[in-house]
Amino acid sequence: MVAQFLPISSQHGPCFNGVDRMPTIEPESRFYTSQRLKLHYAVWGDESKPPLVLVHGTRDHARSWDGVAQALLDRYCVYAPDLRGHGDSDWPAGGQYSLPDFMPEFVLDMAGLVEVIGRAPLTLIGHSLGGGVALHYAGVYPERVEKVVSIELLGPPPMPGRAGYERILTWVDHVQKAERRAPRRYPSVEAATARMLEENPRLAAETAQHLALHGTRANEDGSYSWKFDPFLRVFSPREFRIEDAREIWYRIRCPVLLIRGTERGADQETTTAEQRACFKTTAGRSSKARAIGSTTTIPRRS
Amino acid sequence: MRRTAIEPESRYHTSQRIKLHYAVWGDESKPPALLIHGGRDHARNWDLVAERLGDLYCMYAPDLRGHGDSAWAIGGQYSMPDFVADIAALADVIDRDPLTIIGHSLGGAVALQFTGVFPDRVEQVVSIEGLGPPAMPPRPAHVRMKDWIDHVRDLERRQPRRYASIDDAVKRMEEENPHLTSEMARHLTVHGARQNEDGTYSWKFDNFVRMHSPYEFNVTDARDIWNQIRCPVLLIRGTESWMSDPEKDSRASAFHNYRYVVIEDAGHWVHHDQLDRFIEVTREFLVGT
Repeated sequence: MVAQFLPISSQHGPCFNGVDRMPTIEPESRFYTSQRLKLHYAVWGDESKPPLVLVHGTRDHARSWDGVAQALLDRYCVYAPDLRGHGDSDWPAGGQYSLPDFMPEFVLDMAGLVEVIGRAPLTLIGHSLGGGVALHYAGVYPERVEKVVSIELLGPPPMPGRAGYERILTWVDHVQKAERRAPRRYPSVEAATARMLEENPRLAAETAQHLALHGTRANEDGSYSWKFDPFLRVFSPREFRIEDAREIWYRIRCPVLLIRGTERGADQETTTAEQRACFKTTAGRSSKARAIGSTTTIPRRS
Repeated sequence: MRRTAIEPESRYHTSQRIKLHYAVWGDESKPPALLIHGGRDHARNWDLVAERLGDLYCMYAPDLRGHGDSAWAIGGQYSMPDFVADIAALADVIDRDPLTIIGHSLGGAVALQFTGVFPDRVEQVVSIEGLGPPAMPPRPAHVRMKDWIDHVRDLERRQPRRYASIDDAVKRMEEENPHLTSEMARHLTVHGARQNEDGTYSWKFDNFVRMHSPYEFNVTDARDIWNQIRCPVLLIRGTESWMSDPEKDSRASAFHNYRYVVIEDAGHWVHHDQLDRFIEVTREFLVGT
């Protein structure tokens, strides 16, 4: 399914030269259903190898993992879902995404995927939202996970405590704004790539091209829009409680690797001391957590 | 059931990108009243109530998402905030604030939450057996998550039941609701079921409306929302209902200005079981006669 967009790169000539340096192995596209949504996942490699699931972050997609998948294919068969509302997976109808709260539907979809793959226990690597989902999944189904790597996120960020009526009021307002906003259209994949680079200045140009190529879909009028559901920007009316996170994380029984980048301002911190403290505690039990620096989620191919 | 003289007009609006249906009875120069049905019910359960209040109001009865002729939220949620958002969207479309709202069961809970979140938009609210669930013992987060996932899996595997004829569906309706007259059971079934391609009938409601929530029902939040309500509230309960008594369990104390009426010989569907008494109590509260 994703492959149908590839010929575009040749039309655009030199702009996509960099794509040649992206992985040469195209994944296989597969689908499964969860809560009546048709969800897509990519599979790379030999299914006799141990299973590794790569879970992308918000407004990202499975093909964000091409470089990582390629680098780990010697050890694993790699599965990368497009989370609901992302990539080539369905959008929920009339639905909210429970972000950034308890994330139950993403954990549900993960549970469905693990059943479809049928190869537990598996190794999980998640980035951002995907890291939060991987950790939740590992806590709810500890016997199905062998190792977890979470890049840049432990769980939903802390929210200022707000009264129940205030949360619903704000949420309804955000929903109505989202309903009124038309998805942005870009005249070309290059224009979408430029936008991607503007938002993520650290990305290599070729990576941005790759992400935009797989992250956009052509509209009827020949323009391009991001595949992700714009309603992902609407934050949940619920609150996530650190006690809930702690309760789930304490049930993880496998080794956990937490990775974060060093380059950010204090206001861009994606985890809290309170969240990290949960993992220090688990280190004294059967899991071991350690933090290392890493500047990008798409490792440069060495 | 005696057919109502006035058939409502069907209208549609969208909320969160799904198409929702609502019925309209009466003269739009009259003050607006919203009638919100309960879980697995539909707008046309209000026909007789609409007829009896037609001298006072123009009435708007939504089919909640996943019910009646409104769209299903496939892969989405049937949660309280979603229903409240849908009612807010409907109120915008009607554009006749402030509203009088009457709700039954789930619809009563939605009416109270909507009123608490938008206190300026509501003039009076009547909640029939609708405060939401009573406080439950808290469950650990991983248990809530896992139980919910198992529950969704069960729903995914369940096929909607098919009835050979409308009569069979009416029988099922009567079996489940022994208080209903057979006329009312037929009326509710005719409007609550849809014919399948093979000539059988299935209920219009989405089976996934049965979905529980992975979140804890937070009575503190609910009380906090009810506490925002500034208009008069009428809480109605049937003596033969399974619902918890809101004064005994102290939930009613969250309301500043409420009246609590218990209706004899009525079950959960108070307005069907004791229509005359319900209308009498409701009119008395709304307009003093």
